[in-house]
Amino acid sequence: MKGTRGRFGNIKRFWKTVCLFCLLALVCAGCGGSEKAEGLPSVRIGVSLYRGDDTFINNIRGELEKRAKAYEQETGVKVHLDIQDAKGSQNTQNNQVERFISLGCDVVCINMVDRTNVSIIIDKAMAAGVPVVFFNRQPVEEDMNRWDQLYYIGVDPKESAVLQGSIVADLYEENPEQVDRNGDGVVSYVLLEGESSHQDSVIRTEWSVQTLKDSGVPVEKLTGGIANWERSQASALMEQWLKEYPGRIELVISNNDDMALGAIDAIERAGVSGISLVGIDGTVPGNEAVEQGTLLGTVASDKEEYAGVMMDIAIARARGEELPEDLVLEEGKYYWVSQEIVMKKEK
Amino acid sequence: MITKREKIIWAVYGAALVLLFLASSTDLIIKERENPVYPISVVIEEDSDDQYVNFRKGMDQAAMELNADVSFITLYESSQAEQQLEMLRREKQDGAQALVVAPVDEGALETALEAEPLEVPLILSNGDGLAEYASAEVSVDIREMGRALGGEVAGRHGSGERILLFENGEETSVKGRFEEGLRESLSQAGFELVSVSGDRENGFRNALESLCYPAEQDAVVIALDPDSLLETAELLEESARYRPYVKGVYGRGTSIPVLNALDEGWITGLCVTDDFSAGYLCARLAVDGARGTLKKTEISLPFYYIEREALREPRYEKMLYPIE
Amino acid sequence: MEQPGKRSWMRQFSIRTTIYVYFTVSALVAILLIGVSLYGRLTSQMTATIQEENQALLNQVNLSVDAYLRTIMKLSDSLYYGVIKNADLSAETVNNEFTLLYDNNKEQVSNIALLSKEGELLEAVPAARLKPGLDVTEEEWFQNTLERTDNLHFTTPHVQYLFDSTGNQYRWVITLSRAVEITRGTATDQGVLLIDITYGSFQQLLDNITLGNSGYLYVISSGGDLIYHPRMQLIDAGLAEENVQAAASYRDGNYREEYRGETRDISVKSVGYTGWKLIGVSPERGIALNNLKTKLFIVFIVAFVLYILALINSYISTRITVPIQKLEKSVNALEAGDLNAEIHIGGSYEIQHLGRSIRDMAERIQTLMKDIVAEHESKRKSEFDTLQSQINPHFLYNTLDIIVWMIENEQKDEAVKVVTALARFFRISLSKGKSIIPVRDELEHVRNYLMIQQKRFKNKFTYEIDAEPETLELCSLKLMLQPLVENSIYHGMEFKMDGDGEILIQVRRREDGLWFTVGDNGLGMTEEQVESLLTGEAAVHSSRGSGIGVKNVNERIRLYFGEDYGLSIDSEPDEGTTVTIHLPALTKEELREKEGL
Repeated sequence: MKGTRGRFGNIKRFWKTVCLFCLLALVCAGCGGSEKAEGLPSVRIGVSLYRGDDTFINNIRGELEKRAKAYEQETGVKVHLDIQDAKGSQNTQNNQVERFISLGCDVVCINMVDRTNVSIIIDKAMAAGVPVVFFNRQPVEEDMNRWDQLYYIGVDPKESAVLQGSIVADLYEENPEQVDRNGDGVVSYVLLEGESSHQDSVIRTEWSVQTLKDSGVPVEKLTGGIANWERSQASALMEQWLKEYPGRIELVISNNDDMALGAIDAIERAGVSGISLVGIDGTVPGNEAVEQGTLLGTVASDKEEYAGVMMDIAIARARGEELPEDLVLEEGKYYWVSQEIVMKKEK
Repeated sequence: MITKREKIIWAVYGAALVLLFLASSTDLIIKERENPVYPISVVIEEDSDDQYVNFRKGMDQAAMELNADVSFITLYESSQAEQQLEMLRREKQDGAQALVVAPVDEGALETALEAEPLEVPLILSNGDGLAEYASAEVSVDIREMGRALGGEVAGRHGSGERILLFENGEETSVKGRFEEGLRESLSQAGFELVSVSGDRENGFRNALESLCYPAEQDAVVIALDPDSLLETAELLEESARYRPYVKGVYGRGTSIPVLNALDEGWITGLCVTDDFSAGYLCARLAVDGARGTLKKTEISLPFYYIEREALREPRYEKMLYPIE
Repeated sequence: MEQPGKRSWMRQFSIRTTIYVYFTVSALVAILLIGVSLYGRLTSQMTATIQEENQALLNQVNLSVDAYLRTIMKLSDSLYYGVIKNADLSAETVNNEFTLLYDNNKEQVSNIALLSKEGELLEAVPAARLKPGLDVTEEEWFQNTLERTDNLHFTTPHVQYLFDSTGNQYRWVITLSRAVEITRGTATDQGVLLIDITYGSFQQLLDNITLGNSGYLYVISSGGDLIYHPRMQLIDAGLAEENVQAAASYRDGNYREEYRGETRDISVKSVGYTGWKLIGVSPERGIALNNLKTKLFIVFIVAFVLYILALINSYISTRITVPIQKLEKSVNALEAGDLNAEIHIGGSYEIQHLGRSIRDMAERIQTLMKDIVAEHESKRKSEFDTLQSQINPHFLYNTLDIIVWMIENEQKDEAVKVVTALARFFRISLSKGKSIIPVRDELEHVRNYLMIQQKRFKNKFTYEIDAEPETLELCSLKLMLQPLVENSIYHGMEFKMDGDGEILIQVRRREDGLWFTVGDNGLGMTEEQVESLLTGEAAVHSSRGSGIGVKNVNERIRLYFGEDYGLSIDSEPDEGTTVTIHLPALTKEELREKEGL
């Protein structure tokens, strides 16, 4: 009688062989895994600008790049700054944010095209655990409160407007004729407004004029128009107005420097003089215009501070560190950059 | 009766099955090649990317198509050869699998790399002929460009005209070659050439001033680099005084402000290049390099001399204003 | 017998291997067939589905492009019919209305402008100035628009150059223009209403649309200019190519084309009003389950199923074939001569049956062999007995005594007779060792015996031998009659005092064979005596007899001629006894045939 041994004779041996093979396979797989490049610590920041040719935004961008380089040189930590232009399309910006996240950005800085349409970006960022630093165009409070890793850096529009108003008000106080050129006791002004959907336009417009009124400057609005922060649009509008109100315009109040410069372009083209202009931003060309005397004054925000705070928050968050102690954020999210009046220095 | 041989066959077969299963249905053996992302770094010779906008657009297009991650590195200070070298090495250390460089000083770069090679593929943008140390090159013949521009200027102006060569005081290989070519054809045509450096404050302004005062003279301005060209255009736009004396402004450059200046008439004639294609090709060659499939290539792109009308021609329109 | 050569190894396959191989091969073929046909089916199904989906997608995109263009055209209509027509431009401005309409379409529209026939910019939203030095009236599109006043004109994409723009921006736009009637006071005049559509918003409709695996779509104008292509910039720069020329000639529908070594499916759909065409391209190779992992998976499935089948198959074949193998082993043992080998009974009922049959047969063989051995043994014994009796010493001594007495009593002639008879008697007894002799010789033998015995018993009896002549040459068994006669004499005649004992031997040939009778009128026997004669031990020798008993004769007859023949005794006490012998009637030749020599 033959002994009945198991199916494979020695079952144990069969299983041993199988296990050995499995082990081999796993080891091979493990070895074949990718080797992470052992590199220096580095920080990757994605920045999306709402429109690349906005001078103020451009200046901020320049400062960001400078600050990044300085940080690199100081600490040896490589900062990979990826700056993209959304060209005024929220869609494009959303795609850019997606790309940032997929490329492994540690932090993104967004200058929203449409501040009411933030949820897509916040969703993506939250899902990927990527902190967001909004700047210059402020999302609504409800959106900002959705996550504790959302920040906003901006310039307090009311403060800007009040300072802007005070430029004219102070000058009027000192020397009314400077402002009221035709001496009719009224300062006739035209108003150049930014985008209608931008929170700053409304506030700046309102408070600028209010400040003048509060300071007792007799103002009369001739007309106003929306130039969407753009120099060329302001230029076109101003040209029209110069034709419409020849000799009557004494003051141009502009929500930002670019539009003020556009108005200056139109004035120069028309060969007119005697109009005071005030802007807000303190952009490089704006400051130059102040130096040259074509722009009465502007309210400059500290660009270095602006970019500096942005970078500080971004880099700290990217490296998982706490924010610098001296950095105080309102409600833990908001930072208002300091600003000051820029007027031509009397020699 | 199951022989020993049979048992072995069963065991081996079973093991092969397990392997097959692992290979086909799990990620243990064959990893679905997630499209690999190739990190590439580009180091240019300037401290801002103003002149490289179209180039970057071309690179971005290639990056999207070929799944590359492009780092665009500008120097802390323009035209610093050592800094550029440092940047190259730093990028390589940070994991760049291929490098693109627009060299500040080719000679210095060559020497440095021969002493200590980079070990990653290096693509030259606007180099001077295929060098040993580079894996590929995408260039415009700058010297020829200079010659051609000189020819155009010679064609438009009498040899009696003074020619002011404006430049911003930074030495780069590209500028050097451009100047060489320019001087060649201009001297041949018998022009008098005066170099003016914008390095000193108001260098250009003073030069233009000197045309009006004390004695009135005409001149033709040729800018050796885009920055100087732009500055000249701005000067002319600002102040009407110089305009009658400046008979023509020429130079090279492809950034939008330069093109606008050409459109507005402050620049008379301009040498332009297809930067978008250059950027695209550089990025593609770099990805090939990262993949390991790069063969030594030298791509020569043409340059064009255009005047204002050309901006409206579809051909130039598409080249100079790339759609993204 | 095994034939040498190649084919022999195939014959060597056991049942197990054969079942195994056939089963596995057929399973494999079945799997492959199923697999291949399924794969083919799936692929073609997928291809068809994808093509359908692509078609649907193309239609969808067509609709959205159509809707997009219509929106812009409606905007133009609103601007014209809703605003411009109702406005007296000498008295009022249409800026607010324009601004309202612009704000509603900000995403798609870059500029809205109203120009007079002379090229003067009457209204622009957002605020803009014409580029200084630009004479609009010299622009081709302007002239075309004024010429064909009933149409809306779409340009191909171009960089916006009409309006002064600052900074680093340039915009690609598509210009939609129409001729309008402008009212100024009482005069009406021609003008042009212009809407610049941002190319970006158009692009968004078409970006990121993939058809199938690696398909894409693009748009060309009726003139064959590219309006949109995913790689538009590269094509313009000469770094990529597209089969635009061919596409321009296609009408709406589906085509197949070969371009740069690739086969592609082309779908063409026209966009309304503009004459633009939407071209969907799907390369053929995009559709296939050509993932390496998928292929490996298929291989795995096939291998796995095979494995399971093989396992089952192996198990089954073992259950069937192992019992056969065990049976085979048992048979081998049997063949080797071990009749007592254990036969394996197991497996399916057929195998069990075979096993049992083989076992029974082995047992029968054993029994038969035992029988043969027994038969040979008894034959041998009989032979031995016969042999012994052939030289019966007692008869010899007695007869010799008689002869000596005769010689001593000077009965020479009698002595000679007896000696002669004796010699003859022994000669036939030996018969050169043969067992079968002719009847004549057997009769001679018994006659000689009778004669001697007569002399010995001083003529106590008489005898007669009566044989038919035709029986004389037939075969008879040797020493068959003499023992019977011996019995007769010693049991019947011996006690007959008056010499009227009679012994009659008759031989007759009948239909059913050869019949011998040996009859006497002696004492007779009881039934018990008859019984004991027939069954008695042959070893009981009568001291005066030949030593072979009646039983022996019977046995020998039956041994030689079969069970049908033999001896029977008929006896009446005090009357007599008749012994009958039945033999087959065979001649020598017949007998030889029968024995198959």
